[in-house]
Amino acid sequence: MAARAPDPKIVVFACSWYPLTAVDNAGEDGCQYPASTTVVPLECGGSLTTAALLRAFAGNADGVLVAACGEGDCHYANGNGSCAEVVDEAREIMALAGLEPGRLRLELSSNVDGGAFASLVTAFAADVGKLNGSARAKGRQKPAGMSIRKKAASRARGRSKPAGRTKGRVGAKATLGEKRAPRAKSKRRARRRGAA
Amino acid sequence: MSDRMFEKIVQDTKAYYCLECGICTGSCPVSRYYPEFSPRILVERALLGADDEMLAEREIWTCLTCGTCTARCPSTVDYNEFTRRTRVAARDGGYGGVDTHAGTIQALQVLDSERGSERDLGWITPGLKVSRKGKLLFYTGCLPYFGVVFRDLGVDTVEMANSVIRLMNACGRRPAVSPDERCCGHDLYWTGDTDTFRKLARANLDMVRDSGAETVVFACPECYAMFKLIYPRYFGGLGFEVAHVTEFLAPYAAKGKLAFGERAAGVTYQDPCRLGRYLGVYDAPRDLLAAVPELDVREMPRARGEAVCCGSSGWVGCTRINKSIQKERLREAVDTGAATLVTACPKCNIHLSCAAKDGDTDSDIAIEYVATFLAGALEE
Repeated sequence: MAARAPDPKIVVFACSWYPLTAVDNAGEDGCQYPASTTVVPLECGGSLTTAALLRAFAGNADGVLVAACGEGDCHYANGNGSCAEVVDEAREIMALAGLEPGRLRLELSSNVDGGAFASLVTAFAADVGKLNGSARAKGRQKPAGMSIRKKAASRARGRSKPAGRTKGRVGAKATLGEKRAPRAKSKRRARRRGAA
Repeated sequence: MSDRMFEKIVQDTKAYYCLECGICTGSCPVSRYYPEFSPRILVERALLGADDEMLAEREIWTCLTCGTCTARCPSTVDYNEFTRRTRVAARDGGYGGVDTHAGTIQALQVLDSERGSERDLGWITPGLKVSRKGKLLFYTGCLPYFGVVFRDLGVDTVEMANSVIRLMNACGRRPAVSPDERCCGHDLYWTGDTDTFRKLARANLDMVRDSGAETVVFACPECYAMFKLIYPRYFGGLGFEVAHVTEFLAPYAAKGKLAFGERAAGVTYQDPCRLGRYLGVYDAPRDLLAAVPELDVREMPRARGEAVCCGSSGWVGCTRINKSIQKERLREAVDTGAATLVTACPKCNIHLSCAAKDGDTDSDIAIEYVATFLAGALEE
């Protein structure tokens, strides 16, 4: 039997309003989606940059899902609109670099249902898995970026940074703890909205 | 740790020869608008045993690496290399410059070093003659990518690359364009990211050797300078010839194999830092412009080795200082009475076009890349 292809690595950039609430609800309701998914919270979809998307692919992402609030629902005027522009620019650059534009998906939705989020990620991961399969069939060793192991090795080789000066990286534990309260509040608000 | 590190930088760049004459600071286009920035003082601080504090300062990211001070220094201190090495040390210490364009360009260059895919060559205008392999290779660099990033600026870098192919075709040559090409690593090298630069350089050298090319022609002087000056330092002799597109085309124009139609207009020429001060190529672009009948080529007061930088390099920092340098240069070009400013570097074209759009420059001078201009002047 042929070895099963590893799950594609998916990065989800999620706006902290509706989309991140959906992620929270998926966890709370026990909805399953691929474990190889990393969710990166954004304060607003509008804070996404082309650089962040390209760097995800240069890292170890096989697919990137950008989740921002639905049309007309941005809490900061037009964050989701500029988010869509950034995604378009990244897609054009990816196409020139020979990466399938299907590896980058934009989802503008105000749906806070956890189950819907889980099935969205699952379906996207399946699509990206197919792209990985056909890329490997064409002899491409690295479907998108380099493997996690290589990345970890290069990190281990990296130099230590001086204490007291850290760059604002998303995903640090302390930041998550601090952010907990406002996110719960927004979830309740969104849930009420969803129920109405 | 840092004392010894600076000691090494001082030794390697011959900074200990510094006479404190201040010619560097007097020549520096940045110091003119930002007197706090002084190459001389930075070198002095390194000589006195600089500490980590210097690595955190933004001054080390302000230098344009244009090479004016290095060219004029009576003690042959290599200030460009001094800046670069200090930036490597700064990056190692966790400091960095301010990436312009929201870091898009650095990100796409890093992606180029990591991608396992082949570049898409669909941007090449149908009808132009190119091949996958051959003795002549055209290295396009970041031009296809820049077409996406700088579209809103009205600078068509894809057209620049297509113009180079069109001119080569006019000379009866069919260049190879490789999908395995990667960014040359210039910007990352000059801003201290040596690891990614090495990865890119290695991949590019493999690409050229696999293609069987004997001559590689560059649209961008920065890629050309990397291949000609920097790659050999890290990887030994190239084993193939390299040339800027103007150097490649000039002999064809001289022999009459490349004929242009009449163009009764005035142009002036901007010498890019890499092509001019770094590589000493001043005549080839001028010879090509002189080959266009009726064209009135006017020189700016500061030309050739004295030319002023386009005001920005390495995509780190774009401030009031950079804009002031660019506007001053544009004013100089306008004062020649020329209708078009021709430059041999796509990046000069991008930076000067951006400054021209700023509004408060009273210039309506057109800015064009040399190959785009020449392809437009080709005889039908």
